[in-house]
Amino acid sequence: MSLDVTVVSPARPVFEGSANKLVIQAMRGQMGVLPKHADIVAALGVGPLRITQADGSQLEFAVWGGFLKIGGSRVTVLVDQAVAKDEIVESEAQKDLTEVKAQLRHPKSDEEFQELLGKRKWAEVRLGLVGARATVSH
Amino acid sequence: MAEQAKVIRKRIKSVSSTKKITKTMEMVAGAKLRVAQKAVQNSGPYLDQLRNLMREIGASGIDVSRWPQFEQRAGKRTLIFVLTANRGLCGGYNANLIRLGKKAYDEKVADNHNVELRVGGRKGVAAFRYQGVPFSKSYVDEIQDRPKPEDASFFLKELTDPFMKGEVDEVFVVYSHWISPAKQPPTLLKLLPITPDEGESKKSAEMPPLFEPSPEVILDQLLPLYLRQTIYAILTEAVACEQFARRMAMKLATDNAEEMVTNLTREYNKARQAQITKELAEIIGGAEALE
Repeated sequence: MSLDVTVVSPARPVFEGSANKLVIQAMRGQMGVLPKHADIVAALGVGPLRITQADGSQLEFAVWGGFLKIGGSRVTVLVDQAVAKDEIVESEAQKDLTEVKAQLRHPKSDEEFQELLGKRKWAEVRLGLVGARATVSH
Repeated sequence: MAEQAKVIRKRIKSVSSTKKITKTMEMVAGAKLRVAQKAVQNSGPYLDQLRNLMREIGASGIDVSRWPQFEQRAGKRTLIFVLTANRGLCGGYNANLIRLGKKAYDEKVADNHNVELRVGGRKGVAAFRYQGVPFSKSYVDEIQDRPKPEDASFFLKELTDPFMKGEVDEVFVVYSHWISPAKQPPTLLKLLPITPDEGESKKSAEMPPLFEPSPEVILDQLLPLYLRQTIYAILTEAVACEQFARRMAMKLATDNAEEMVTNLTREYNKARQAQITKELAEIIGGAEALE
């Protein structure tokens, strides 16, 4: 028995296929999904999404926000943003991180602060996936 | 006779250059249509899934009255947003939307509603101004050929804020709904309040799913996302419909121009032949007179 996984973002469908396992960042920590998981709707945070396909190969994405829905063996992941590991441009993520960190020093409002924290996490997750270390000090 | 042939030749020239223009516009609209259609297709599955999720939550029996977005108010203040295009030359596209918008407006007014009208697109603005229908706000530069998520966020704020602040009791959008290349009806959509839909029927059938961390947190996040995505779909579908209508209109214009050139050429040939015949007759007549 395997999972039917669909990952969609507002811009495009990201992934569709069967998988044996899926690990995702829920709001309160990472969450693993194996076949026969209970039906659930979960809000997602910023983090990596790892899908182990039926042939054992692993796909990795950086995803931001959205929802996970499991109904039977059908797993639907709705994300605000998703980028596959191969598509991550390290220099770009690095640049985003530097910018966000500079802005974080002087946030204008609480909302902006929260938003910047999210952006920082987003940059860090992307860097983490490509195996680069954040070179800017805190 | 020589005069007539000359006039016809001039007309042929002018019609052919018009044809060149319409043909180009047809191709431009075709290219833009492909982009717009792709955007509609790509964002479709996401919105479908969001709708599923909404349905699921509706079916799980959560009390949705906590969220103002669901609140059915008794008041009669209505906001209608009519989304038209900035440019014309697209057949009945704008006219149909304006007609539907006006109809919705009149119906609400007849029902004693206090209606606030907002218009998007230069064509709609011009039409409502001409008809003397008062509108409170217009958006022209905000209507883009390639709607971006930020545009959706902008209109989300513009259209939901009055409702959330309690200034209006319901929000409608008039836009062109893209169903398929053959079907794009102008549509009146109720944006707010959200009506908890079909979910009700299957309430008892299945065990409700778990919610992580809680149904409240999920709805808090889901609602704005759902509305934003709905608006994004409205914007992208409108662009696709506009380009489709323009391509059709320009194709028709090109075909008509083509037909006109054919007819005019025939007429020109006739006139030229008549002129030659006449000249010949004159020469022969002159020669005979000399004998």
